[in-house]
Amino acid sequence: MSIKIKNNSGMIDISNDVIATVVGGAATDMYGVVGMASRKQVRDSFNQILGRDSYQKGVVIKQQGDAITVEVSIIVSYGTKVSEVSKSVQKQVKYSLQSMLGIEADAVNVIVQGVRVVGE
Amino acid sequence: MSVTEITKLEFDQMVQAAAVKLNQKAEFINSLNVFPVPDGDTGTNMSMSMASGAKYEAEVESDAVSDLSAALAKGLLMGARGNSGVILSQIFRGFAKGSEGVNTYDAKRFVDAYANGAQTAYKSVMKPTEGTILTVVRESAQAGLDLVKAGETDLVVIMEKIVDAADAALAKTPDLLPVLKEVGVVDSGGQGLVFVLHAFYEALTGQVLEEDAKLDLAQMDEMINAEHHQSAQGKLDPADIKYGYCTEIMVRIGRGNSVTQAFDYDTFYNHLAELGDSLLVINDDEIVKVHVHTEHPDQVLNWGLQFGDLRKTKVDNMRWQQESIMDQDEPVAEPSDQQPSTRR
Repeated sequence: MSIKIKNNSGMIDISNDVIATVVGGAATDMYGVVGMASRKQVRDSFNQILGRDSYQKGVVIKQQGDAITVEVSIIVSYGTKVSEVSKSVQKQVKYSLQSMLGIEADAVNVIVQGVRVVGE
Repeated sequence: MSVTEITKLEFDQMVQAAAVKLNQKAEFINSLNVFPVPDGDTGTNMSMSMASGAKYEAEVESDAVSDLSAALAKGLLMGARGNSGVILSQIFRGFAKGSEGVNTYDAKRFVDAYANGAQTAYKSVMKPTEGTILTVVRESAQAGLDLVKAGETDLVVIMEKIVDAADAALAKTPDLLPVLKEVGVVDSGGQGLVFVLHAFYEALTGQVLEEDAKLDLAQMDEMINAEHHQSAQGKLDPADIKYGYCTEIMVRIGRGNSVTQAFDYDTFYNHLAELGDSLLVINDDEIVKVHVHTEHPDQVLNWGLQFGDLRKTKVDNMRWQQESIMDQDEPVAEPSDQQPSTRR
């Protein structure tokens, strides 16, 4: 499954895996995010067994017609302001999609799945 | 002068000074913001976060710095805005944790608390990015620790070294983070923390650090770089550029034969403001530097000549520059009636 962009020169096809990887990379770079929560068990376990470093964990790409929705499930660090961390994730994901893939996301939904206390 | 103890009195002053300084410098910090997203809000975010922290800290009745720092941390947490605000809140969260049970700071306790702040900051992110505020806090904390280990007890000396280390780390950030070098600025979050540390030093000693007293010319270059980067990012259509000539002049105040009036900042600025936009005017006693986007570079140069001679001028045609950028990026559009090229 992929997102297709048609322009004068032809068609650009970007697979969902690529998008998920870019999004996952952007999210894990964000301050306050200490982990990603898997929502696609089979895909993520598969990657884990194969020993692949997957940035796709916790990322789900949905496409309805022209509208692209990205869902990111994160684990935040205890003691940070969760709403601000989430907003930063949304901003960063949206920006990365635009600057790296030229894709405009209609919505970036952040699901805070967990909170982790990081070594005090 | 030397200070060996930080009590409620000093701590209150330090925190207030930090909030005031971030407020003053917010616009400048905003202009440096290119990482991670160039949205120009780092300064505002850090300023508002610190204002919240200072408010909570000021309301505490207790004399113990453990309570004061805890309130500062809580205020920062509640009021944290943006990525930079969150990191600042984490630094002071660690700082507060490292201050537990402490009534007043001596050199060791203060530096330990600060170092704890640095450690906590690093823990809340999976992939700490160097060349950011994290680098600045780490290296400045290390400098403090080294001094304490060597037996230093004067907090003025220690704070000065911390400030020096922070300044050095900030200057290095373009070498660690490529996008900063590309744009020609230092890291905005790091700059914010540097200002906080400067404020701490100034509060402890009662002296104002000269370099902060007014924007200097190097900082102006950074602001110009960042601004041009932002408009390049927007992929402007050359036809949309309203004021086409990026004009910079450096005037030696009062020198030369063309002088007709004495330099007054407001008069100088206001006239230029009518000639275009993206106006920046910085001066010291001897020179004034101007950056403006205008359709009439000749008027800018003439106006400068009223006040002195021109040491340097630069006029760039931004429409031509934008055309060159766009030519590099996009494939040339094929006219519809052209024969399809044969495959090889």
